[in-house]
Amino acid sequence: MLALEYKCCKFDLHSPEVNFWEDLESKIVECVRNTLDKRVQFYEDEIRKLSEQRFMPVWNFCNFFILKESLAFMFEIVHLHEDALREYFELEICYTETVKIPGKQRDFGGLEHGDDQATLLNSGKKPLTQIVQDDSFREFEFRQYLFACQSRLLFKLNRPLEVAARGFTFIINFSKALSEHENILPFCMREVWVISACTDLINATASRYSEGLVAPDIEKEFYRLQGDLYSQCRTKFMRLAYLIGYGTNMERSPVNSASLSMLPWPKPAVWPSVPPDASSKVLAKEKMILQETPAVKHFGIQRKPLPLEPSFLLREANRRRASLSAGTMLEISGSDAMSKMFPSHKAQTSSMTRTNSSPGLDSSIDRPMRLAEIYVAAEYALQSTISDPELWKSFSSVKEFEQKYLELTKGAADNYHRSWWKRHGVVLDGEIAAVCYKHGNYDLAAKSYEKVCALYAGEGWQDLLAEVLPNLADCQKILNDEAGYLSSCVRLLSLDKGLFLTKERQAFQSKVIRLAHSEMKQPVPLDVSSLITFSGNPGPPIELCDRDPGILSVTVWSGFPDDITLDSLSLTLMATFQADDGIKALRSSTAIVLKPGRNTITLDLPPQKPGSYVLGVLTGQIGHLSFRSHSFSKGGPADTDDFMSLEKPTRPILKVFKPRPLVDLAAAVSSALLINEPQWVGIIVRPINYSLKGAVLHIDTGPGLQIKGSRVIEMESYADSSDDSTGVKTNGALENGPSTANKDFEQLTLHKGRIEFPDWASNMTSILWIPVRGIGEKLARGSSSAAPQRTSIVDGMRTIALKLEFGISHNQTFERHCDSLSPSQVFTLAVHFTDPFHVSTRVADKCNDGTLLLQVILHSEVKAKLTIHDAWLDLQDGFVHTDRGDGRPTSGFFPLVISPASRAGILFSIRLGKSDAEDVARTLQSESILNIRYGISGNRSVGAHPPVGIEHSATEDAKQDLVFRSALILQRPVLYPCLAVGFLPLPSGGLRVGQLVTMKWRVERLKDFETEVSKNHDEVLYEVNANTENWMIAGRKRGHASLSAMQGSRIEISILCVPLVAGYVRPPQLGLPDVDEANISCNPPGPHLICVLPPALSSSFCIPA
Amino acid sequence: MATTACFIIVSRNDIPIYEAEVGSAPKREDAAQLHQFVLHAALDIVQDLAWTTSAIHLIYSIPPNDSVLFIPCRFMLLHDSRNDDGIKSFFQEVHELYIKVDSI
Repeated sequence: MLALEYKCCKFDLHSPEVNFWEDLESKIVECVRNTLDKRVQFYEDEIRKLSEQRFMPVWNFCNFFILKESLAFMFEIVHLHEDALREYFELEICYTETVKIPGKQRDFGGLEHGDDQATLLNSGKKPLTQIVQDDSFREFEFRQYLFACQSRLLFKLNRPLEVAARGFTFIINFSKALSEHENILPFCMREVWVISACTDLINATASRYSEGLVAPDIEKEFYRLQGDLYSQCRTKFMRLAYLIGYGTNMERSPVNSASLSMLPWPKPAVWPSVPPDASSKVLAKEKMILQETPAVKHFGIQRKPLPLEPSFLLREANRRRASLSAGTMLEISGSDAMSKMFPSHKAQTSSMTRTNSSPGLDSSIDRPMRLAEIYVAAEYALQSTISDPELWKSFSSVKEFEQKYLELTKGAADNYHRSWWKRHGVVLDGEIAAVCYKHGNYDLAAKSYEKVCALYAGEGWQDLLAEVLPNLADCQKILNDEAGYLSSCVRLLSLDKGLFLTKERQAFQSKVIRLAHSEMKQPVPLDVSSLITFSGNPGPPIELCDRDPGILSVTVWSGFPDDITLDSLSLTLMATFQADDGIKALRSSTAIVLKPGRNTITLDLPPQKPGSYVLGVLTGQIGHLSFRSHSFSKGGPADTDDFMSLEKPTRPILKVFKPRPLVDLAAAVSSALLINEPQWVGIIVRPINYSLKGAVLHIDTGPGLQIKGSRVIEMESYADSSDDSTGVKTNGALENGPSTANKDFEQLTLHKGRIEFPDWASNMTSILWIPVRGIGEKLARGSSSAAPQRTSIVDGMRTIALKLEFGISHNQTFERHCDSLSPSQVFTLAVHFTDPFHVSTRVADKCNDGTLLLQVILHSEVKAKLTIHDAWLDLQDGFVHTDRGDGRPTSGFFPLVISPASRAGILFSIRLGKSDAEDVARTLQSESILNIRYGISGNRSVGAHPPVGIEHSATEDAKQDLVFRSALILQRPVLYPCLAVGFLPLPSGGLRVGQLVTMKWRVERLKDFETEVSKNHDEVLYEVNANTENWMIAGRKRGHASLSAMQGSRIEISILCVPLVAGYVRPPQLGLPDVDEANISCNPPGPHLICVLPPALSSSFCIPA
Repeated sequence: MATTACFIIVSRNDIPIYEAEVGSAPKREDAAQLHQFVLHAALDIVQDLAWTTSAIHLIYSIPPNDSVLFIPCRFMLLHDSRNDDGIKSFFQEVHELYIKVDSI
């Protein structure tokens, strides 16, 4: 009752309930579901029962299959695809186990027409009734049927990737199964089926696959599977094509060889024989074989072709035929066709075996077949095997074959490119390139070959690169791609030497040289880094001083098989410390011939900036071709296989030191030389660990100095006490050899201000003596002992500008300051000149008779012994000598010897008075002149010395007379001057800082001015001089004061001063500029000091601290 | 049965750094090239598998002060007869030797 209620609904025609239809629908659905559940339950129970009885004799797979498939069918109808799939998987497992049971094996199947076309994706192609045989199913059809059902469900579940993956595995496994039953199947059934299966699977999965819906990894895996399917299909297709004689149209490349040479030949029960009416075809095939010419590689490369077959087809085919004898085989193998096909192969008969002849074969089978016959027989047999007209069409002609071959290769390559397996893709690109090349499509071929070469070269697989690179080179040559062709030739030469014969390598080189010397359309730099490598010589880097040129020796390794002439060569140096402007190119313009292997070349090295340098880029020219190499060789071929050496830091090849003093020039003598006399000036030249070979010294004298005699410049070795020079001297002596070791003196010539150094002076300290004359126009002036005034040392200073050019190419210049970057800077040497004496005078005594004893004190100014032979005094106006008129002291004084830095005195007796009439000419003379005739004996290495030219010519007795003149000013005694200036006493209270004080001087006329009558004699010009640091003067410092011309007239000049500093200071001085010093008598006579007290303490006068 | 095998060490940049033909079969002239080709193509598969399985030993190490330098590389053996145990022990030996040589 309840069940009825559950299943029934009441429908009132007049007033239907609102929810009636919905209720009805839900109830129907419920009923259907219940029914399904019950049916499923029932089937599952039945299947369980059958499974339990599986190993019982009564068990029947057919019943099991019906139940299983019915259940799967039910699931599929209600869209329970996963469940349906599970049932089919279980069915497949069960079937696989069933067919393996011994004794249960039945007919395999696959013998019907059209079975060569795979049905792995089409479950309905054959009705199941045809598959069933007794209680079992034929494996050939049933396994495909099961896979077709699975794939149908997988496609419904939108899982094409799984179809592809399972499909590929299925094809591989099924192919094995086919090979096991190959002897009962038609000829090459297995290969044809695989081609068909792969094609179907590719088309079905690709059409149902939509890009971008899955993760990238899964997508790449899908394309990899597609690539594998294409690749598998391609291999089988090539095998079939080979069997019918298209082998000569296939590239014997590594990929084809690897695919085919490891794939065994088909193993039919008996190899197909030639049909009786095929003689014309056999003839045609033979003709084709004879016409085939082996492909000649570019550059005349002779290489054994790679095999496309696992063993000789001729032998394999005949072996598989019955009643074949070894003797007849030999006859066949000697035929032209055989030798044409396999020029390098020798017939091997030892491994031949006989097979038992199969019954039922006609008698003609005993005769071994020729190759052409094998092709024709295979063609006929395949024609009967292949039911797909499209596939057969692909074998109908070479053109059709190539089209299909290309299609499959492209398919595989494209899919591999989309997957992770890039290498597979690139390799197959090479196969496409081979076809393009064959058809004259060189552009495409070159592009594809480039990809392959880039892959092999990038990963360093040289054997494989050597196979492809000649093909690329050939394409480039045909395309007139000179740059590419050259580059390929260079790469061929760079490959391992064992990969090519020497003759072939020489051919590569000759191509490069021929092209380099021809007119290239677009000359491009050629990178020969792999062929020409270079390195610095082993050992420490070359060390150079700043601005020095040098010679760089570089080892260059040539990978060319023959000598090669480089028209020019250039090598850059890169500074390690800076990258911007540190690149310098060294050029060698002369042609260099590189031998194969190691070469040493030398390059001139211009001066470089300080720092370390490494080798950069090698560039050069071969004919019109410029090349460059970036590659450092690692010291020879022994290291070339060290793959880590690419990361080694490059070794510095050159070190240029920072500027340092290379030579020192200094004055040899620091003491003064005689002025106005030719003197030797010594210049010490001290090389500091640097050779001065060929050095040139430029000499330029400053004002007041001239070089005397250009031919007597002397140079001698100089024994320096410092350690450095001793070492240098020793080294120099060793380098120069014993002949020059003792040579330490030479006279040099000054030519246009230049002196060239002798070689012996290159490495030793030497001294250069140059005769010079310091010119002093001024007459020496004596000074009073009361007011000693020494002449300034600057007056006697003269300069010599020296510029020393040295180094290998006079690139070095001596600089005083090493850190200076100015190369033109010259060294200025100061030379001090002086008079032999400084003269001071004093009045030694004033006698009652008016005689004055004038003491002349001579200070020796030089470091040399002076001998005074004579002295006389030319007195000024107003003084006369007392006794004789010659003005000479007692002759017994002379010769008077004055040691260096000592003093001597000479007394002159004079008196006041008018000179004689004959001396009128001298009356205007206002100064007395002291004349001294003297001689000097000194050493030039110490200081002043006898004048140049005299010392050599003069004998010992000869007087080395020099005359020294000095002006003296004699002041008249106090009573005689015209004017007296007296400093009036200061206030008794003393002076204080800041306090006004009046300074007063009294000027008194002592006598008339005879000489100044005409002038305004009633006025006198005065001037007050004061140190402005000590005094502030208020009022006029300079002015005219009225002073009567009468004797005894006097005036007072006062001026207001403020002392500024405390202590003993010199007071302001009153001077009378218009009056000669000798006519003024001063009181006090010389400078004196006065005391200034500090300021009184006062709150209103503060000095800041 | 004559067997042949080709052992190769491939550096981290996929450059072959060592190659040895081993086996009792007479050496064919063209074999080297074919073996190289197969091994080179197998790099695709090895690289693919390297991401999916831990069964392949990958040697990676950062050299401490350059004293010991482990260079990441791959050992590959092309063989024509299946002998998993033999191949496994061969690789173990090669690995040990490589570490020894590399540590010198």
